This record gives sequence, structure tokens and C-alpha cells, in this order.
Amino acid sequence: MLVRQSNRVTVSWIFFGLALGMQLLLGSYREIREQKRAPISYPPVQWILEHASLGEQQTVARLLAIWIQSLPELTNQEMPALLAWLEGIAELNPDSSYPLFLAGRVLGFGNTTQQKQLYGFVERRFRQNPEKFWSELAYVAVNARHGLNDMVLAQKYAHALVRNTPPNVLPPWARQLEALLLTDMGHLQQAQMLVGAMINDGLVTDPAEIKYLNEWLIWLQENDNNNQ
Amino acid sequence: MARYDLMNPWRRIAAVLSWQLTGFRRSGLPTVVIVLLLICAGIAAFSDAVALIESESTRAGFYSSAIKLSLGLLISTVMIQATAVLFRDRVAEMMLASSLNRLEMVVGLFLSGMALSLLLAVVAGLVGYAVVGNSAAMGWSISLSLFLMVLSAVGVLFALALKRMLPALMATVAVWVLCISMPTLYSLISPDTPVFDLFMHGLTWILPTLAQFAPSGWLLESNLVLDTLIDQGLETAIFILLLISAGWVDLKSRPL
Repeated sequence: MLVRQSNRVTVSWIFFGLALGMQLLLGSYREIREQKRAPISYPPVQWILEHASLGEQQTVARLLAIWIQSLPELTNQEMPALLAWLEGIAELNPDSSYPLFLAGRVLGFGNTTQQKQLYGFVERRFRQNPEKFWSELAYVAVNARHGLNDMVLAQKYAHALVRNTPPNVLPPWARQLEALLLTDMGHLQQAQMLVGAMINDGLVTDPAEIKYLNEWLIWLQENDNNNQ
Repeated sequence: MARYDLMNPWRRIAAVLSWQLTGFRRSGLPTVVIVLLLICAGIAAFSDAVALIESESTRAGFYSSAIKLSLGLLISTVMIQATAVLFRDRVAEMMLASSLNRLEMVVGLFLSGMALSLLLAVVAGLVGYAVVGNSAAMGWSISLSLFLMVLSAVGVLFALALKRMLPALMATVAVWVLCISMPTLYSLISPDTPVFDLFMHGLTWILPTLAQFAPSGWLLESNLVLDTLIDQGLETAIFILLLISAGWVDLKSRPL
């Protein structure tokens, strides 16, 4: 009786081992298969996105923004889908600058075509609420001047910034941005000025953003040193 | 059962309330709540760590949403189970066989849900204070307690009417989703006949606007949004009164 029971225990362990082995095999196969990343799909229509968030639109918008932030480098063919996601996120939480921050400062880095499209998104959202998003357009203007080496585009954004933002909202240095971009100052100097002014004027108070800006300046400094 | 043979109706209602609250404690609910709160605080801390900007509002938003969803589901499940068990184990029959009447029984059941909601909201508010660091998050906690009261009341009503756990839970979640999506649904469907329009309008008037309860922004708000809170309190009170009357009608019309 005891022997039969111990046989049953052995069989059950073998069965468990086999099942675990199969699970591990499937997992490793999945990892190999997933190295070939599928292109990102378009977001669902806006009302589905709103309903699916069960009344927590702001949190879902932030969750989606963090997902977008974690995406690997995208191809140019994926840009329309990415822009649609960014638009969807901005619609879900219209008061947040997160999608504009991602478009203007994080995504499409080093790809001129992608960056131009993303900057276009920032400009579009800025025009909808200049009081709220003027600082994002200021970053985009500086990045267009130095990152893309596109003075015409940088001037266009700086001009739009001054023309569309109410004068009482815009600090004096931002009103001079168009002229500042024409000077011989390098990317690092202009970025330092921009960040310093933003922090001094109390426009940036979030610890995470201050940390990000510091890292950005250090990165520019290293780039500057390497170029010299 | 001797303590149910009391003359004062309020004491009889209190007896149902205390029976339910003891049941919650015995069922291990406090441990589940502590674990849930820790998970929600962990989610908030994680979101803060990965957010590149707006970290404070991201942390508050994730905490608020996680708490609302998890405590909402928890209180619905707990209230449905407690009510269903009360009838399944014939405790309700025994109570009604003593001097307790059906209205007192219904009021006691709804009150136990409200008491539990209040308790959960206070604890969630305290943890929220630790997570977000804003002592003026009281408005959010009050609004959260109203949110939970609505869900607990819907759960009790469906448990009374449907008697079984799963259908009652499904119906409660359906009402929850309907409360949130009714305004959008109305604008999407745009009823074309006057009767249908009146029906849809009626639904939007009856269902509380749950999506506006305990918004995450209030966790960071330094001022109490008193007007909105009073509106939400009134909305909750009248809706629960409606559910109590429906529960009373249901319990009165069936033999036990």
C-alpha cells in the first residue's frame, strides 16, 4: 500500500517537472519571438478610451504616458499611431503637460523627421491652451534651433509663443526668445538660461522635473566637452 | 438573540449593525484592507519613481484611482456576501422572528455598509496623507466615503433582491459603470423618441455622478471644495434613501 502511494507521489512529481519544463520552454520561445517587436497600433476611438478608464481619465492618461515613455525607438511608419496616442492622452487629461513634454523633449531623439512631427504636435496643443503650455513650446524652439539646426522652425515657434501667449503670463526673458535664438550662444548656454529662468521664476517646482532638467544639462555639458 | 428583543427601534437597528460589523471583523476584512492599502501605496510610490515630470500629481492620481477601484470592489463584494450569508444561514429569519421588523432590518443592513464605508475612507485618507503628504486631503476622504456608501448600498440592494453572490456583484458593477458612463452614453445615443429621451434623462437624474466623487486632484487641494461636497452628500443621501425604500419593498413583498 505504502509502495503504491510513493509511486503515485513520484509520478506526480514527474508530471509537475514536465509541466514546469514546458512552461519554461514556452517562455523562452516567447522571448525570442518578442524580440521582433510588432509595430504599435492606433489607439481606440476617444469615447472608448474615456469609458474604459472607468471615470479615472487622468490616471489612465498618466499610465498611457508612462507606457509611451517606455517604448523603444520607433520607426517613421509608426509615427502616425504614436501621434494619435499622444492626442488621445492629451484629450483624456487636457491640463497635463506630460504628452507635450514627451513629444518635445523625450521621443524621436536623433531622428529629424520624427522630431519635426512631434514638435508639430506640441505646437498644436500649445495653440489650444497657450497659457498652460507656453513653456513646452519654449523648449521646443530651443531644441529646434540646436537639435535640428533649423533656425526657420525655431523662429516660427518663438514667434508663435510671443504672439499667442497673453503678455501677463509670459516672463520678460521668454518674450526675448526670438532674438535670443539669433545669438551665437550654444545649445548648452541657451538651455542653461532657459532652465535657470524657469526654476527662478517658480515655473518648475516638481522634484522629478528638476532632476530631469539637471540630467539634461549634464548631458549637454558632456556633449559640449566631447565636441571641443 | 435576547438583545434583539428591545423596545427601541434604533437599538434594534444598532443590533443588526453590530452583527454585521462583527462579521466583517471575523471574516479577516481588516487584514485584506491593510494589504490593499499597502499595494495601493506601493503603486503610487512606483508611479512617482517612473514619472519624469508631474510626479506629485502622478503619485496622487495613481493612489486615488487604485484606492477607489479596489475599495469600491471590496466593499461591494463584502456587503453582498454579508447580506447573502445573513439570509442563507437563516440569521435574518431569526432576527425577524424576534421583535425586529423588516424596515429595521433593511435600515440596519444599509447602515452597516455606510459605517464600513466611513471607516475605510478614514483609513484610506490617513494612508493618503502619508503617501501624498497633504494634510488638507479631508475633502477627498469625505468624498471617498460617499462613493463607497453608494456602492455598498447598491450591493446590499442587489444582494437582497437577487439573493446570490455572483449575479448581485455583476449587477452592482454594471450600475457602477452606468453611473460613470451615463452622461457620455446619453450624448452618444442622442435619443430620437420623446419616451426614450425621457427614460435616458430619468436614468441620468437618478444615478449618482460617481465619476466626480473623490477626484485625485482633491488629494493635493489645500482648500475644501465645500459646495461640491455638499452636492455629493445630498446626492448620496437621496440615492441611498431610494435604495432603502426599494429594499424595504422587496423584503416586504416576499415570504421568508
